[in-house]
Amino acid sequence: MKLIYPLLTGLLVLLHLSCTEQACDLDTEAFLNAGFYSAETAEAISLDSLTIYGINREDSLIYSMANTGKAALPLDPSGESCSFIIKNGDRTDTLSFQYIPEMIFLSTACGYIYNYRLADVIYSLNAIENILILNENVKPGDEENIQIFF
Amino acid sequence: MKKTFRFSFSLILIICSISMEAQEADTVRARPSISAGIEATGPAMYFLDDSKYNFEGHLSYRLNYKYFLVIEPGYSKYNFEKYNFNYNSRGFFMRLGTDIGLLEPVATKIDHFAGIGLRYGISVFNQEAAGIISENYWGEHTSSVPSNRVHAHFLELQGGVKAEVFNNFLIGWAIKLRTLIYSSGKDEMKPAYIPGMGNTNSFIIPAVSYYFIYRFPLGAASDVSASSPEK
Repeated sequence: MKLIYPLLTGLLVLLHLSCTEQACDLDTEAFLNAGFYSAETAEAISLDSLTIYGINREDSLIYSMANTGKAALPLDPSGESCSFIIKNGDRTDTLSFQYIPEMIFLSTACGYIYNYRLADVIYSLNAIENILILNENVKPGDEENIQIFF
Repeated sequence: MKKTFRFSFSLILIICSISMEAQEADTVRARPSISAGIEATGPAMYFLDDSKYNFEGHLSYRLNYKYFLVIEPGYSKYNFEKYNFNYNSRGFFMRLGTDIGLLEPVATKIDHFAGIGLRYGISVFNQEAAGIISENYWGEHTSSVPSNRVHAHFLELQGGVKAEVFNNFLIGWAIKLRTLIYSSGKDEMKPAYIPGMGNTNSFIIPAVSYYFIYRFPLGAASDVSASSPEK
């Protein structure tokens, strides 16, 4: 009998802690993270006037004359490919990604999100010299998926 | 949390009343019995919130003054609507396990119960999600998860009391903590709600149950443990 008081008190405390309403505090959007590198030295570089937008979305720039060493690109969950225009100064390239969208249930607070499995990258060779796929799993977070060599 | 405190207060009252009644150590034998009852919070909560319906029964067999075998079958239906998705789950579940009484086997306490319970639960249900809206740079995209059958397995630890208020009629309640051990649903099929277990928001899922139970005494009394009752 002596056991019942601490047991029930412990259960009540856990019940109280567990009843707290949860908010979604997780990343819910997966971006394809690209890092920029020098084709000569393979070292990380920054581009000083980078503009990126989706094809047919010229009115909506993702980056505008940005000085950055990496880019987070949103993929289109309604299809299995999407393309971007990437302008570095006066040179322009086209990047096309082929992927498989994968919907997952995150939680009741966050709902469903899309991750992507990257299948291929097709690109022009103006400013870009090469692209390597490091990690084909595109998930929320900062993990680099591709390396773009200029 | 008002409900939790109200339940807590009634729990303490019941335990105290049982404790105060039994000051003498008049050790008795517990009669084997079968108990059948219903869990009342599910239907009661349905009148307040019709998005969740839970109906479950409680069957137990008393082995001796301390141990009970318990089966709790039930049916549950759940609908969850958010701004970007609508989730439905419905199916059957069963919890199997034991109740372990912590009261001394004395005349004034033998017909009541205060103790802990351990359960293994299995749930087989259908779930679906509609109107899943995701919005990003490329615009708004709507999708759905078609109806699919999932089975899940979980464990439950509970503490509770059951007091005999009339002859062989008991009222009781329990605080329960459950944890999922396996679900066949992965990725987009991962269940948001498992019948018999609850929401899958956290590692520990709490629940409170209120019982109305009728006891059917069987045969002669069983032996009480050879050890002395705790005082």
